[in-house]
Amino acid sequence: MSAHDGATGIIKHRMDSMKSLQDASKTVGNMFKGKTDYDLSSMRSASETFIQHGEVMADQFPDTQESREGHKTEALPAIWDNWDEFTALAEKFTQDSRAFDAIVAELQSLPTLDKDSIRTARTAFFKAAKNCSGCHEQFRAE
Amino acid sequence: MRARFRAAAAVISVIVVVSLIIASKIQNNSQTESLRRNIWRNANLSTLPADESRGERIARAAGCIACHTDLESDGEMLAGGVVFATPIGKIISPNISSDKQYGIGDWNREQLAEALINGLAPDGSHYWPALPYVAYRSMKTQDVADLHAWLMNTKPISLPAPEHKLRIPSASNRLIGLWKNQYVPKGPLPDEPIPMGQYLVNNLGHCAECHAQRGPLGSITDRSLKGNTRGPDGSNVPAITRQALMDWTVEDIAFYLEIGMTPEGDFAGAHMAPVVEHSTSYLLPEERIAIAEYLLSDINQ
Repeated sequence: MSAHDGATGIIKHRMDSMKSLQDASKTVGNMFKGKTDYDLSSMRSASETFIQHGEVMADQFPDTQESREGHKTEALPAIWDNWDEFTALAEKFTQDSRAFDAIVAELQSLPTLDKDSIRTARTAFFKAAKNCSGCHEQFRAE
Repeated sequence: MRARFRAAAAVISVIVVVSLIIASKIQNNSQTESLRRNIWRNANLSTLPADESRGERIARAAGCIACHTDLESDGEMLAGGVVFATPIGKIISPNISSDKQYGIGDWNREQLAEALINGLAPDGSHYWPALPYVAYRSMKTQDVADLHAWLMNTKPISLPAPEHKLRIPSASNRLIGLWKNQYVPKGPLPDEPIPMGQYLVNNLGHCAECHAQRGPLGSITDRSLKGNTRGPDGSNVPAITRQALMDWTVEDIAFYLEIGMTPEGDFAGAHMAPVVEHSTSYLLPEERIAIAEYLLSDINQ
């Protein structure tokens, strides 16, 4: 049982989207933690996932009754009360994810992966991922 | 008439006895306070060389910024104004910027030590335990000196923070002395050796303030980190004992403290996100590892 079970429609749609972001973050995080080996193609598909879901983030939170009050939703009304701030955060996440993606793409073109490159990628991932907590802090129920 | 006199006499004697008990308890508490005071005096707190940049890290580890900055309203750093809803009313964090009038810019190191370690204001009154002096009671003298050096160089904010809005009379401040005697453990005393991770979790980081259950008087009699169903704003704060963190590795915890990501790739929100953002992400990597190792150790049951 997950907290998302039983959600339908737009709620389920955006929860699935968040789950994809979560899985991608886990994959990248495990590499930086040393739990798994560095695999740039998996890292690249994670960064692409970030961009893809970041770009449609705001669209997944329409100001409708279903979206606001649907079964299982963890979205707080603060989203629609502070819509500009919410969309700005989503936009920043997308931009930071593009920067992360560009760095991973660059690393893919290098013959070997050294410590400095890993540090650069780590910093870029952190910058993108920081937006997640920033958004959850204000806009997601715990 | 005689019966009434007897009743009055009985009431008076009860009041006298209770007052004597209270007075003696407050006396006990002030003895512990002077014991701690002697430690930092003997360690020459007022003349120790201090390291300002290390002081910022102490401020981060101790959570000064997150509680004394009104982050929700983009308030100035350390200008106070954060509201803590408690059963006795609203406690509002004061301005602790370096402003001499409205902040703490005119405090010397001893006054800072009195506030953090003994919970005493410069005028001798007690602070409400929203200031986590119960945790800070073991603070190292050097940490106070370094923290003071940093605090005195923050941007001065010439604005008073709002007053507390309490539902009880201000005279009840005296009773905090009684509360302290009951609920502030005597040890470890300042400068007693404590392993780094344990010191960061139990003392500077004051994790128990949210991750342990509070009693009716706001007291935490069992400071183990078993979670709290009545957390800030009614939140349900998870347990972070060794058992509760069974599925977490040292790296998972260190990573979480740096960026807020759980082993499953989810990200902290609500009350923990600002702790990561303003406190634990600023620690040294080895400090986060020390916290993680302490949390996963046998002591953290």
